[in-house]
This record gives sequence, C-alpha cells and structure tokens, in this order.
Amino acid sequence: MWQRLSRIIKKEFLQLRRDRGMLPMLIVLPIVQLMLFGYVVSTDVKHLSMAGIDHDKSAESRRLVASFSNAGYFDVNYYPDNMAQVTKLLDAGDAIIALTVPNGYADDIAAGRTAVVQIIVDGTESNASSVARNYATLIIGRQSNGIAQAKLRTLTNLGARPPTVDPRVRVLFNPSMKSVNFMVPGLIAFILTLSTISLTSEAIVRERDQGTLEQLIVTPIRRGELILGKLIPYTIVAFVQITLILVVGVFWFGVPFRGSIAFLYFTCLLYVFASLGQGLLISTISKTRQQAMLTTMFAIFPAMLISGFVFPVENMPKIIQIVSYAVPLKYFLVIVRGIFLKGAGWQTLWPQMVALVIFSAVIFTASVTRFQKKFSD
Amino acid sequence: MGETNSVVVDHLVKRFGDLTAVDDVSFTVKSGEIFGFLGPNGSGKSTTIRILCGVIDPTDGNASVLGYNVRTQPEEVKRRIGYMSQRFSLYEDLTVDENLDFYAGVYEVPPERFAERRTYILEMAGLVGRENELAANLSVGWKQRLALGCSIVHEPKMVFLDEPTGGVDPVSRRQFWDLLYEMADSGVTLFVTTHYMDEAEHCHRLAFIYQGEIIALGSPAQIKADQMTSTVIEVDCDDCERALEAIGRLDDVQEAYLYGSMVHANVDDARKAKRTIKEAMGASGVGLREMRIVEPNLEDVFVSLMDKMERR
Ligand SMILES: Nc1ncnc2c1ncn2[C@@H]1O[C@H](COP(=O)(O)OP(=O)(O)O)[C@@H](O)[C@H]1O
Ligand SMILES: [Mg+2]
Repeated sequence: MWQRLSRIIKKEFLQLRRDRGMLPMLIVLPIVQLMLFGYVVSTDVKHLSMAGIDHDKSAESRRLVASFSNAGYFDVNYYPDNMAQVTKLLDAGDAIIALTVPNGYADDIAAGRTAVVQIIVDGTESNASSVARNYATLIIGRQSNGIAQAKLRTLTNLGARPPTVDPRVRVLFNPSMKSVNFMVPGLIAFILTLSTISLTSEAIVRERDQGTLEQLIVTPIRRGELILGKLIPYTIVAFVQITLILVVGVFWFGVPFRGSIAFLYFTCLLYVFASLGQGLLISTISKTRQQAMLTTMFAIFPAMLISGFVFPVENMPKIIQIVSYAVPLKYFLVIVRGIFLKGAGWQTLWPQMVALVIFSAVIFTASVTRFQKKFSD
Repeated sequence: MGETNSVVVDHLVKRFGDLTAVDDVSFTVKSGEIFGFLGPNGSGKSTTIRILCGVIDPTDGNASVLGYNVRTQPEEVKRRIGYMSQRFSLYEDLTVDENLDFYAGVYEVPPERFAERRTYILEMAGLVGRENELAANLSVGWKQRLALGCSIVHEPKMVFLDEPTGGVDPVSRRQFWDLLYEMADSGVTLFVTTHYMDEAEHCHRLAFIYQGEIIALGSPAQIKADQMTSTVIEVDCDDCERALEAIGRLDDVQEAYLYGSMVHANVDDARKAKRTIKEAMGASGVGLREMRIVEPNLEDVFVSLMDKMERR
C-alpha cells in the first residue's frame, strides 16, 4: 500500500519537475497575480476633487473642511456659495463630492449638541463615489472623535455631554482602507482554487490522454491509492503557494495579519479538499485535456465573480446571492478575510467551516464514486 | 503433464451501443503457449484483450484468466498478468529507469528483486547505457521493448500484448519476437494480437477474428489444412497492378491479391486457371515472367477466409 502510494507521489513530483512550463508558473503565477491586484487593479482612490460650502465660516468649520484635504484623499478645489453652483460642479464632473457646513455648526459643537453636516456624492461613478462616501464619513468620524476628546479634556463640569458631528460612522477592520489588504486574503483563496482544480483535473486527464490510465487500471493499484497519490502532491504545491502569497503579502505589501497562522492553514486544508474534489470530478467527466481545461474555466470564473472575490456579494441580485451559497470559494473568502483582517477564530467562522466540510464530503463522494478503476467503455 | 488453460473465453459479447465489437466469441489459451489473435483493424482484437485484462466489462458471456473470473475477480487477474497496450503506455516525461522503477513500485516488487529484474530488462531491451534517457527520446523500437519490460517487471506468468509491433521496423520486429520466444521458453503464456501474417506463423495457436467473430482457430498448420481447399498460383510479372486487375476478373479465379511484388490467385482447377491467366496477361499486354503453384501461407488463408465471409 505505502510502496504503491509513495511511488505515485514520487512520479507526480518528477513529472511536475520535468514540465518546463508548470513549475515556474506555479511559483510565478501567484506573485504576478499579487502584483496585479496589489498595484494595477488597486481600488484605492486618492485626490478626489471636492467642493466645500462653508456657511458657518468659523474656525471650527474651516478645520473640518481642511481635514478633508489633509487626509490626502480629497482636494478641496472649489468653494461655491450656494447649492446651484454645487449641482453645476457635480454635473460637469468637476467635483465628485461636496461638503456643506451649515450656519451654526461651531455653536452646536460649543453647546455640546450634535452638529449636522451634509455630504453630496456624485452617484454616477459608483465605485469612486462609494469610496468617496466611505472616506468622507471616516474623516468626519475622526474629526468628531477629535472634537469630543478635546472637549472632554477641557470640560470642567463633568456631567456635560460631549458634542459630536454626525454622521459618525467608523470604518471597521480596514481603517487605512487599502484595497490590497482586502485583496491578498482573497488571492490566497483564488490561487488555491485555480491551481488545485486545474492541476488535479489535468493530472488524471493527462493519464487518460496518454493511455497510461489504461495501463494503471491493469495494475494492482487501488482506486484510493491512485486518487491520494494524485492529490497529495498538489496539496503540497498548494501549501507552498499559500505560504508564498502570505510572505509577499505581509512583508512586501504590509498587509496586516491578525489571526492565527495554524488556524489559517487548517482552514486552507479544508478548502483544498473541496477544490481537489471539484478537480477530481472534472477529470472523471472529461475525456480530453481540452475538455478538462474548458470545464475548469467554466467552473472557476463564475465562482470567482459571484463569490465576493472582486465584487461584494451583498450588491448582487437576489438570485445570484442564492446561487452563491453553492460556491465554496464564497465561504472560504469569508474565512481567510476574517482570519487576516479581524483575527477571527473558529468561534465566529464555524458556520463557513461546516459549509466547506459538507461541500467537500458531497463532492468527494460524488467524484470518488464516479472514478472507477475501469473504463465504462 | 496435464495441459491447463490459462485463458478460457466463453460466449463473450461486447457491444458499444449498436455496434457489436465482440460477437459471441469462445476459445481457450493453453498454459505456456504463444496464442496469436489475428484480424484486420476494427475486428475486435483490442476489445477482447481489454475485457480479459479487466479494463472494460463484457456485455455478456464469461472469461477467466489464470483461473480467475475477469468480471468478478478482476484484481486477482491484474496482480498476475502483464499487459502491454496498443499505445506503449509509457510516461514519456520519465526516464527509462524511472518508468521501470514506477511500475516495479506499483506491482510491489521487493527492492532486491527489482535490482535483478532491472538488469535483466535493460539487457533484454538493449537499453543498457540509456537508463537516464527520457522515454520520449527513444525510437519506436526501444519504446516498445521498454514497454514490454515495464509490463513484465513483476514476472507475470501470463502476458497480453496488443499489437506490440505496430509501427516498428522489420529488424526491431524480429528482435521483439525473439524476446517473446525466450519468454515462452521460460514458461510464460503469451496472448499476442497482430495483423501481420508473418508474425502469426510464429504462434503456437491462432484465432482469426473478423468483425467480432472468430472464423478460424487452431495451429497455423491446422488452419491451413482445414481452410485452404483451393490452390494458390503465384504470378510473377512486370506490372502487378494491371495483372491483378486482369486476373481478378477471371471466372476461374476465386480471388486475386498482391503478395509482396507478386500476385496470388486462389483457384480450384490449377491447370485450367494457369491457361486462362496466361491468356489474360497476353491480352492486357503485361509481361509474364513466371507462374507456379505454391504452398498456401497464412495470408492466402486469411484472404480466402475473408472473401468467404464477405460473400456470405
Ligand atoms: N470505447 C469504444 N466505444 C465505441 N466503439 C468502440 C470502442 N472501442 C472500440 N470500438 C469499436 O469496436 C470495434 C472493434 O475495435 P477494436 O477492438 O479496437 O479493434 P482492433 O483492435 O481489432 O483494431 C471497432 O469498430 C471500434 O470502432
Ligand atoms: Mg486494436
């Protein structure tokens, strides 16, 4: 048993090493993807053009407007006097966001009341505007905290309520709002999906294509040994890739890692089972390598789109959201991002882990049953 | 010493959809013999061999190999046989040594034994000095001998070879058959499919399969004696193509076919046929060098058999 299993594993590694294109690709692909997503596809938005209407004209209101340009996200290029001018600026696309500070803003703060400011966002450019809205609420939130703390320090009568600025939204878990922080955990999930599914499906279909599968069928090798012998090497390859992305992500891009490494690798193992199962299933239904490759594409790309890898699932149509429950990548994305950015543990992630286990069990059973040590014809 | 059967095939049927690839076939292979399975392309040779090796299930009928039922005990069969498929299934991206090592591991050959087997196989296949060459870089003849080596690394008592000499040059073919003789001498039972008639002459016993049916069975001499009621006239002339056309039209000739650079004609009445052939050659202006009656060989038998089948 062990002799046969180890021989298959050895052979897979030999073949992997001989394949001139494969090994570099397995190492280079994750890095290139990481660079692409880290730099090129960056959704970080900087220097957004902004209009500021300051009806209050106080030191306090000027500080609020200035805080927008100080953060680096906004350039306050226009100081219109009225709403009509604001509308014109937004219509022309000269400004993407406008801040209106009403008369009495400083008075409200001084009196410890909640001061209200208005933010108008150009909704036509959805990505930039939602980022702008998030930044704006973040900046106001910080400003509000600053005012409250300053007030607390100077307050002599302790019973007084600290004043605030509304909206007071905090952006959780990714306070620097860098998209690379979001992307690196996602990439771990994505690369893991890509390499495990395509490598396993390829590994078995290649034997079928070359006629060596027929030869193997006529040996005393057991079905389980053959499957394990194929899966173990690609699990190892997948873990090397995970480590690579982790190292580059954390040390090159400075992505914070808040969770437990051991827990991350454990969940990766769960997910690797789910995707190896998919690869195995594809290999049992594909007769040729081309067919396996196409099926893999068809399996991966929709999964990538609806799993929340690039676009948030919440923004998708209801029907797609329902379909996305059948995509294991979706659960795994929640898990890796949770571990990376929130330091989440099994206490919060167990529902996703259970989903992965169920998915793996189902798909493995299906593919192992289909993978017979016999040709149907 | 009582003769035992290594393979027993009993009313075997295999259908692929509407096509019946193997049609109610029965035969036995005796232990220690070289059994030839002969037939044109698409006649069902590979399908039969794949059923016997447990690659596919038969639609109907039964078969046993070395006493084990191929349908119910395929793993017992697989442990004990060697199989060389029509495609020389080697790992082209592995070296000669790595291929041997892989199959030895899969068959659980103990390491000490493998060292011996490796030396033997490398010598037998003429691959000494090429141990580290990739299988992809070997010529067809070497690939074929390496494939044979891989399929016998575990010293099976029974080996199935599916068109082992397909696409191989005549010299390599002769060398290969020498290896098969050597194996047969050491007591291994060999089941060989081929469509080369000269190879069939080398077998102890033969089965002719045609469109899924066995149309002749026995030793080469037996088959010739049983099947060949007509006489074979060999015509040596300067334009075989035209001669074949002219001879084929004659009523006295059952069938005519090219044999090497000559034309063979199967006839009932040799004296009469000789005369009409001579006339026909004269009429079509083909220069006749010589004409003689020859002992029928397997090719003659096969052509006449197929002709009978087609007329049926
Ligand atoms: N897997 C298959 N599916 C459908 N038809 C097949 C299959 N394998 C073989 N056949 C058909 O069965 C017939 C016999 O094929 P085969 O046994 O390969 O012939 P041979 O080996 O004598 O050339 C052919 O007509 C072939 O097309
Ligand atoms: Mg064949």
